[in-house]
Amino acid sequence: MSTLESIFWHIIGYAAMPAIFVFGFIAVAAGALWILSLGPDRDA
Amino acid sequence: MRKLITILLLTGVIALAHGQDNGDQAGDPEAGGSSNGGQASLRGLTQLDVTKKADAFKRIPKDRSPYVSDYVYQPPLIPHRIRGYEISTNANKCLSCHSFKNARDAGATKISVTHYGTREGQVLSDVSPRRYFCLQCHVTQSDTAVLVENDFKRVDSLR
Amino acid sequence: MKQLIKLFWKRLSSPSRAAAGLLLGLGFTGGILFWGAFNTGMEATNTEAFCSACHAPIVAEVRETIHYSNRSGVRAICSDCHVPHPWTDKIVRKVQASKELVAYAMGTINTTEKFRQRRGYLANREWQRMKENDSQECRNCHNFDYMDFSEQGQRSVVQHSTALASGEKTCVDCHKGISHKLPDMHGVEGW
Ligand code: HEC
Ligand code: HEC
Ligand code: HEC
Ligand code: HEC
Ligand code: HEC
Ligand code: HEC
Repeated sequence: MSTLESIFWHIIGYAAMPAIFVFGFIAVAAGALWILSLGPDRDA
Repeated sequence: MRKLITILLLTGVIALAHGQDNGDQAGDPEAGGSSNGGQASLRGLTQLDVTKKADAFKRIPKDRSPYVSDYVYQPPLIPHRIRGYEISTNANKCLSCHSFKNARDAGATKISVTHYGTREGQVLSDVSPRRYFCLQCHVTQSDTAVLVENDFKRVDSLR
Repeated sequence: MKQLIKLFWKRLSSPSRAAAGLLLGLGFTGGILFWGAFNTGMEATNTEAFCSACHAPIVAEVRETIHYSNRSGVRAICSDCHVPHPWTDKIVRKVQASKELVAYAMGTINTTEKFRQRRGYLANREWQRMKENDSQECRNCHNFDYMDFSEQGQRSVVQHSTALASGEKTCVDCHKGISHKLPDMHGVEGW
């Protein structure tokens, strides 16, 4: 692997980590809101 | 004349019956008639149509000091394990230790110059194709019973 | 779509009437479920079965080697040698493997001939990678500090106690082709 390629993959790789967390959060939030919408937050 | 024909016929019948008998016996080692002709080979006294159970693998010493030669110009025996060593058009693992270039680093014996010669005695710039497949001549050893008794003796100069 | 995102944001940013415990509980279980699923995915893409989908010829080669079957019955599978353990390095390698998907679509190694052609290049990349991380994957299992030289062969001891101990060389410098057939080795250092 050339240095350039290595840098490229490291940037993408490290960018992927927050992306995983953010999308994970969104997915869990969506699920949780859906469950809430069945209960007390029906009209919110 | 009549007598003679009867005798001939009788012997013929007996011979036939006997032949038949032998045919039946083939494959029955007890009766002496067998598909291996009673000859023991490296497979033992196994019938041709029977697959003998494989012997256990022999253990090859991992690493030891070089073996002493038994005759002059003997390809030295390999004193180490060679499991997984690739010898192909792509790579020759042996030469990664034994070639002139690498032998010193690997602490291995250099191949001798004879490995560079052609059949006509011309010395090439790299290992000769006829010496490329090391295991044609060099073999590992393991401690086992002799297969065939022999009274080989070392040449005087090596004794 | 836009409507949906708006609704999502509104719900997200307005206080809920549910008890704090319920909210926290939902977040907590959601987090566990997400992380579990994520790791299951990571594990699934670390199995030999997964690799064999594209690397069938290599899987067959490994069967004959010490890392497939040995006296102690410990196996090294593809990911043990090819995927780093530390989490960040692992993610980087996994993301990098998206390149393999593209190469797969392009069919760079989908026939024996093409694979043979490209093998030297791929092996070189792998050697380079292991050189750079000092053969970290090997060391995950083989720790130099705990090697018992009295149990090793003479040839091993000579090399391990010198070139390896001094850090001058790393595992793949000497152990090329440890679990695969080798590519054309002309011009490779030490061959
Ligand atoms: C990792 C390096 C290495 C590899 C690979 C290797 N050898 Fe060796 N070999 C050695 C060393 C070191 C010795 C010398 C042992 C000694 O002198 O104590 C040796 C000794 C020998 C000897 C005995 C030489 C003598 O003078 O008696 C032969 C023959 C031999 N090797 C053949 C082979 C063959 C054939 C292969 C490939 C299948 C092979 N070796 C692969 C390191 C290696
Ligand atoms: C055609 C048979 C043949 C083949 C093939 C062959 N050798 Fe030899 N080798 C010999 C013979 C005979 C000797 C002993 C006489 C001599 O030194 O030439 C020898 C000697 C050696 C020695 C000891 C040299 C010394 O100076 O004591 C080594 C090491 C060796 N061979 C390694 C190899 C390796 C490695 C290969 C494969 C690349 C190989 N040989 C292929 C026949 C062969
Ligand atoms: C979708 C098919 C696919 C799967 C699944 C796959 N690979 Fe690959 N892999 C490829 C292709 C195609 C290449 C060749 C890349 C090229 O030509 O540049 C490759 C190349 C490689 C290389 C060469 C080194 C490099 O940097 O390119 C290694 C090592 C490797 N794969 C390991 C693995 C392992 C380990 C797994 C299982 C965890 C795996 N692969 C799963 C398709 C795949
Ligand atoms: C999952 C753990 C694991 C990993 C990773 C691993 N190995 Fe091994 N290795 C083993 C085991 C287990 C054995 C066999 C031990 C035994 O029973 O003799 C072994 C054996 C070996 C041997 C001895 C071969 C022989 O013929 O005796 C070598 C050399 C070796 N490994 C090198 C490596 C190298 C180089 C790497 C990195 C590319 C590596 N290993 C990665 C577990 C591992
Ligand atoms: C300077 C070269 C060199 C380096 C570096 C090196 N080895 Fe070795 N290793 C050898 C040689 C030579 C042998 C013995 C011949 C063989 O097995 O091919 C050996 C043998 C082994 C064996 C089998 C030991 C035995 O005798 O049963 C293991 C396991 C092993 N190496 C693991 C490693 C690991 C892991 C590393 C990296 C931490 C490493 N080696 C680095 C040269 C090296
Ligand atoms: C013991 C460690 C080890 C194991 C297990 C292992 N590899 Fe490798 N792999 C290597 C090393 C080291 C290389 C570098 C080339 C070489 O030395 O053969 C490599 C190279 C490769 C390459 C690059 C092309 C080539 O052939 O050189 C691919 C693809 C690959 N491995 C896939 C796999 C797959 C798939 C598996 C599981 C079936 C696997 N590897 C198991 C150590 C390992």
